[in-house]
This record gives sequence, structure tokens and C-alpha cells, in this order.
Amino acid sequence: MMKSRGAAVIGAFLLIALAIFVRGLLVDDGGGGSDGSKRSDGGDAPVVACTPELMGVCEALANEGMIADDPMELDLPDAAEPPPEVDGWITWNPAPQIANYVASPTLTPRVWTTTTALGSATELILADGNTATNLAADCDAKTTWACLGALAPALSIGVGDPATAEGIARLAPFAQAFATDDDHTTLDAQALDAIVRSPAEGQGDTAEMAQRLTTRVGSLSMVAGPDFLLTRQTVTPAGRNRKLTVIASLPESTMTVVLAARAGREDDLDLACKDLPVLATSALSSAGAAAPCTGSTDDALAGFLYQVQKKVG
Amino acid sequence: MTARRNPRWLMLATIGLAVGLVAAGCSTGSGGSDGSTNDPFGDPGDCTVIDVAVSSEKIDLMTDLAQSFNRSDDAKVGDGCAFVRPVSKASGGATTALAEGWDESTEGARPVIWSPAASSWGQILNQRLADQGQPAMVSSKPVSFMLTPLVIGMPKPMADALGYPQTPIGWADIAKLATSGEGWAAYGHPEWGAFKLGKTNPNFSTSGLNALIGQNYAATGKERDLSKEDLNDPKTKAFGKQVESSVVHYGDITMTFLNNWFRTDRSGTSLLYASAVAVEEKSLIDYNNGNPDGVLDPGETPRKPKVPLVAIYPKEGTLYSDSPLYVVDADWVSKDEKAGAEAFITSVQRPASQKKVLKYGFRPGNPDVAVGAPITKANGVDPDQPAKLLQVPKPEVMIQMLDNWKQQRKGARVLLVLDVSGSMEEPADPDDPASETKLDLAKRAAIDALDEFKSDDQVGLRVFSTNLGSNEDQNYLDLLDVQPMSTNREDLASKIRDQLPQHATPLYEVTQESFTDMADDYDPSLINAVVLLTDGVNDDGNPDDDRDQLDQLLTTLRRGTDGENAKPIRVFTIAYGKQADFDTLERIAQSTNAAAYDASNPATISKVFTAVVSNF
Repeated sequence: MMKSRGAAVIGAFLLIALAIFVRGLLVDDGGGGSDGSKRSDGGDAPVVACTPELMGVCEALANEGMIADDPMELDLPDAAEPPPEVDGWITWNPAPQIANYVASPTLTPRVWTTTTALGSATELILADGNTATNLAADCDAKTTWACLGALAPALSIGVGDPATAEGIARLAPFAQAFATDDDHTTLDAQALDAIVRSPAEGQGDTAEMAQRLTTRVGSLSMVAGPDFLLTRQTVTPAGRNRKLTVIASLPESTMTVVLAARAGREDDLDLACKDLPVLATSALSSAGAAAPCTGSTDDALAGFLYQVQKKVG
Repeated sequence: MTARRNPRWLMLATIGLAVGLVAAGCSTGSGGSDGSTNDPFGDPGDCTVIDVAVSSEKIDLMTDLAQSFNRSDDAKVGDGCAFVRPVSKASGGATTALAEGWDESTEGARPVIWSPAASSWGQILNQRLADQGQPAMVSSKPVSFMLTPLVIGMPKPMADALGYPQTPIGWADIAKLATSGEGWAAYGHPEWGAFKLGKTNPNFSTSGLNALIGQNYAATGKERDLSKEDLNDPKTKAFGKQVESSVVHYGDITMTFLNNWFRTDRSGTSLLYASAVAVEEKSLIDYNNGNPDGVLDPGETPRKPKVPLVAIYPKEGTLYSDSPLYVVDADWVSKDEKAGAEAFITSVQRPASQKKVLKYGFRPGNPDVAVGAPITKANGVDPDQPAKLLQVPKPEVMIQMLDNWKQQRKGARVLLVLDVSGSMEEPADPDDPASETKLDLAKRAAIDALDEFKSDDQVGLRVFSTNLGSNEDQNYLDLLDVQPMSTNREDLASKIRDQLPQHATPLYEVTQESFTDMADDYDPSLINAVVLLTDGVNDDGNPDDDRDQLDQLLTTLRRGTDGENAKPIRVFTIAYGKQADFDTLERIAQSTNAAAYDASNPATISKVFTAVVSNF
């Protein structure tokens, strides 16, 4: 009798403990990091921000518990002085190093340090049927960034807002085409500015501009951006209707999504590209970086693009 | 957190500042259609009602989309359901109503979703709120679920005569035609008379604003970066005056022109009413399909016009109206309403909804639905146009543009004809005997509207009732001759203020006399018009001849308005109060290719007066 009573008491305690445990799980599931800070349970999930068009990647990582909940948007204008809780930033290369230049032209100290490539894309051109047909003649059958850029402002070209990480990455090959040896002092800023200001409704990210080209006849002649985002417009009913075409331009240019670590917190950011969940790689594809874990973390162009941004941003 | 720049915001805020200057009630629309509910939705039951204020050109479409949504699984939100209920609300009027806190007693239910014709109105609203130290009420990046470009609508025979589309046409050609002494004779058609342009008032109407932007760009040869210096260049100003010189009249909505065109089409005189109208592509498709106001009333059967219109996409470039969907960020919007609104916005972007968008003549915003019928050449439009899109100018440039327009617009020669019959003594609010009289309200509205006239506009004042004058034997009195406002503005206000309610309502006689008197001194370089306000039916003491009187009046009006040698005097009528004979006033207005305005609710008279004066 005593034994069974004891077992009942122990059982009751176990049930209470289980209930407390389950409640704790439920409470934890419903809260946690709503202010963007690290988890209240002392968990190690780093706080990672994303540029607006890459927010899907951040959200996928947060859903898997690989980064803190409620990831925030962070783009170049704020990246030189990010919120203190931010440990990492998913963005387009070489935005972290450009932000470092903005914070300190001598790069001392740096805001962002190591970068890891998460995915990449070839930068291509999406053009409507008429523009594509005329390009062969306009560019002597050899489509180069220099030739395309020279068509502005007669043609309106979507190259992105140079103030943003995605925009400056897209603009990079045009900027290089209008300078010698990536020397900003040789940059034809007027010509580059003409490209940036060519769309009547302003610049936007690739997805928005590709849709604009597809649905707003007359708004744009062509859009530069990651291949996947452009190609998918060509197979929409409206894209087929408008005979949208994707064109490669020379020299080949690659855009890379990187994860940058906040200086001094490199060890907190234990995210290996190969471990990214499917949803995150899918989100990367949706943002244009359809080749996972590829691309370059080389930031040699950052200084040049920092100067470009100052001239046309 | 993100700090991405949005250069377009600045451009669009422009219009905000500009219209902020004009503010005044904006339009409540003519013909009493604006703000109407027409309740085609039924009982929402326990669902959360999502009131939607939409610009008039898309009310039929939004009603259709709402009905589909309300029946669908998309309307299931959380544990409940959403029930969407759109009403028509002019973009300018809604902007002002929102900026002023939305008075439900005069404006109807406060909207959860607002969809003006173009996102520029949202920027206007936010700018006006910012000027008042208040937070923004709508997003700077709204969902734009459909599009329609501004075009110059022209009767096909006229477009053919100009060689369109083989010969591109733009605002420069309009300016040339407007100032050509030969008019259509230069193109082998003297029977069409002078070139006449229909254009709405840019302070009230999206199409009018976009047309003004287009013509200013055309004057400079630019497609972007229009500057104040450009606008103040004497050549630009001269160009503006040239275009404006051909205007028939202005107004708050394009439907006035399209309705008049459609009606004159039946009598074979549409080519004499107007040669071209700046209008949205969607409205032109509606017109060519026999539905000029874009709203099919119960029992109305579309009848295609004898003379269809052709959409001319100005060679200098044009602008889109982008139909944004804003979830209003205001304290009257609950969490459930917001969730329901977002569900509806998601729903209208789906391909099935976007196919409806296309069916109604708009261009879909979702690339999964390609542009197709009815946006076809067979309907007078070209899906591969426009070739160029113009940049919306910066705020300060827009303000300058609207300021300059006040001086460039065609001058007006207007006789105000006010009813001072005994019934005007009744309280404006029948439920409140102590409220102001109808005459008091009308006088204040008329005096306020005088501000909208420019100094060289010519305005006179006539009042009517029976037994007027020192011998009590006159049916109307001329209190002020038609003179420039620079000389009689104060006198007009004073004379209006002095009026007292008198006797009966000799409506037909005074209308006939006013029309004839204005025709005697007709000035083709000005908009010649009569503004007639009355609160009753014709009552001159002899009801037996009313029918003959009206027939004679309408015949006189039509003869004076149509034909090669016509001297068109536009009679804009205001039906004031519930007893007013709106149908007859509408016939009078239509006989002169003008518009009738409904102020059956006396509380709206101020807005209605402002809308009427927007024609000048």
C-alpha cells in the first residue's frame, strides 16, 4: 500500500514537472526576441539582419532556429552603424566592405569582418522584344556593359538604387565599364548618372523592376539583375506577350550573397553554407542567388564602389 | 529599420504639396454618383465589414471583386470572416476627407482600404498630414494591382485626318491645332470647325494633373527632371496658353466629357462638341463599348457609339494611373479590419482577380495575366503603347506648375444665377428648425467659390424669383454685370450676402434669358457659362404652359450649342435640396453639353459649388 502511494506521489510530481516543462516550451514558443534581441532563454542563436530583398532568407533561418527570431531589415545606408544587437548581415557583396568604408575611410575599425558566400548569380539583362532586336544593331552584335550603358537616357535601364546593397552590386559592371582599371578618378560619373536616372519611376530592386518592365509598357527598356529573377519573367504570360528576352552582357559579372560577421562576434556566427536549410536556399533562389554556396567574397571593388556611390548614389 | 531611399516618394509628394494649396472640398462628383452606396452586397452577417473608398472609374470592378471575395475562402480570416464593401469616392475628395479626419456625416463610412486613381494622391495625403504635424496615414510603397495610362482620346475620323498612328501625335500638335486659325479646315474638314480640347481641372482630377505634366514636358522637350526654371521659361508658358486656349471647359471628372460626347454622338454632333479629351485608356475602352461613364446601371444596355474614339499616346510620353490599395493607418481601423483588408488585397492580386481587372479595361499588375482583350486595337487602344513614360516632377516643381496653370488656363465668362425664392428660407436641415436656411448655406458656398476665379475671369450675378424689383414685376434682377473679377470680386460677395428669400421660382424663363443674354456677348476666347442654382421646380404662377416653356427652352439651348455657327454657352446646374427638379436640370445642362450637379443634401453645397467652379 505504502509503495503504491509513494509511486502515486512520484507520478504526480512527474506530471507536474512535465506540465511545467510543456508550459515552458509553449511560453518560449510564443515569445522570444520580439524586440530583436537574443533569446531570453540564453540560447546562442545569433541576431542576423538581411537586406530587404533577402528577408526571405532571414525568415527561413529564423524558422529553423538558426538565427534569432524576428530578423530585421538592414541596408547599406544604416550598415555603417548597425543596431548593437546585430551579429551578422546577409547582403550582397561587397556591401559589408562598403559599409566599412562609410564608417571609416581608413577601415579602422571595421564594422564587418569575415564574409561567407551563400549563393550567387550571373548578372544578365532582361529586355523587351523591340529593345532586344535593336540591341544587335546598337551594340554591333556584341553586347557589353559599356554599350548598354551608353544607350541611356534614350533607353531607360533598371540597374538598382546605388544607395542599396543590391543596387550597387548590380551597378558594378556598368561603373567598371565607365572607368579605367577600377580607378574612381577616371569614372565618367555623368554617363553613369544618366543610367541611374533613366527610369521615369526611379530605380528599384530587380524583382520589382523586372515586374515593372513586364507590366508597365513604356516604363523601362531593360533591367539588369540576377539571372533567375529575369528569366522567370520571360515565362509569365505577360512576359511572353511582350517577347521579353534575357541577354548576356560582357564581361561576365557575378553577384554574390554573403553573410558578413560583425567585428568581434565572428565566433557567434556559426553558420556554414552547407548547413543552410532547404527553405533558406529556396529563399536565396527566389532573391536571385540560385547557385547555393557559390560566388566570390572578394571585396576588392568595394573602395571603387564606395566612391561610385558618393558620385551617383 | 531599413533605410532604403525611395526617390519616387519625393516626386509624388509634390502633388501633395500642390494640392494642399487647393485643398477646398475637392469634388463630390457630378450627377450625384459620388459617395453612393447602391448596396449590391447584402447583409454582412457576423463578418468584419471592410469599407473601401475607391475612385469612380473602378467602382464597378471593385464591386465585382468584392462580391467574389466575400463569397470565397479568401474571406475567412482567423476564426471569422471579412466582408468587403466598396463605395465610389473621388480621389481628391477622399484625400481631403482623410486629411481632415473623415466626417462620416457627410462622407459616409470611414474607409479601411482606400484606392485612389494614382499613388500620387497617397503622397498628397501624407504630405498634408505632415504639414499638420500628423503621422502618415498610408504606405509609401502600396500594392498597385492595376494600371491605366493617360491618353488623348480623339474621334477616329479626326485621328485619321491627322494621320495617326502613322504620324505620331503629341501635345505639340495639340498646341499647333489649338492656335491654328484654320482649325480642322487645314486638314480638309472645315465642317468640324475649330479644334476643341476637353481637359479636367488638375487640382481635382488625376487625368487633368497627368495631362498638365505631359504638356509641360512637351513644351520643354524633356522626359524627366522638369525644373521651375523650365516652367517659368516664356516659351513653356506660351505653350501652355496655346494648349489651354482650345479647352471647351474643365471640370472635376472626365465622365462629364465622355457622357456629353456620347450623347452628342447619338445626334451626330460629337465632332462639334470636342475634338480631343485627355482621358485614361480604361475610360476610352468603356466609351467605345457603349458605357461612357464606366458604370452600367441596372437595365442599362451598352450601345456602341457611331463614332468611336482612338487613344493617342502622346509622342512626348505619358503617365500611368496605378490604382494603389492602401490599408488606412488610422485609429478607426481595428486589428480584425486590417487583417481582412490584407486578405482582400492578396485576393485581388491573384490571377483570377487580375483577369477581371483586364475584363474591365485596366492593365493587370500581375505578370501572370497578359494584357489582352479588351485592350486591343479594335477598341481604339494599343497594348504596345505608351512608348515613353514621363517622370513625376518634384514637389516644388508641381506647385509651380499648378500656380502657372492658374494663369495659363482658359479664362471664363460666367453668369451666376441664384434662386432666391421663398423656399430658400427653409432650414437646411429639415430635422433642425433652428439650423441655417438653405439660402444662408448657398450664399456662403457661392462666396467661397468666388476665390477659385482668377482676376481676369469675368463674372456677373443674377438672382431670380417672382415679383422682384421696385415695381415687384420682374422675374429676375441683374445685380452685377459680367465684369472682370479684379473689379467686382468684393461687390459680388457683398451682393450675394445681401440676398433674402422672395417668392416663386420662374426657372425656365430665367434660364432662357440668361442663356440668350450670355450668347449675345459670346466671347470665343473664353469659357462662356451660366451657373444656375435652384432648390425647386419651375413655378411662375402659370403651370399650364410649363411643358411648352421647357420644350422651347431646350430647343433654344440645343440650337445655340450645336452646329457650325453655335455660340456654346454651358449651363451648369445645381439641384439644391430635396425638392429640386434634378431631372429637368440635368436635361437643361445636357442640352448645352455641360453637367448637372446634385446637392440634394444641402450640407454638401459648398463642395458641389467648388466642383462646379472647377469647370473654369
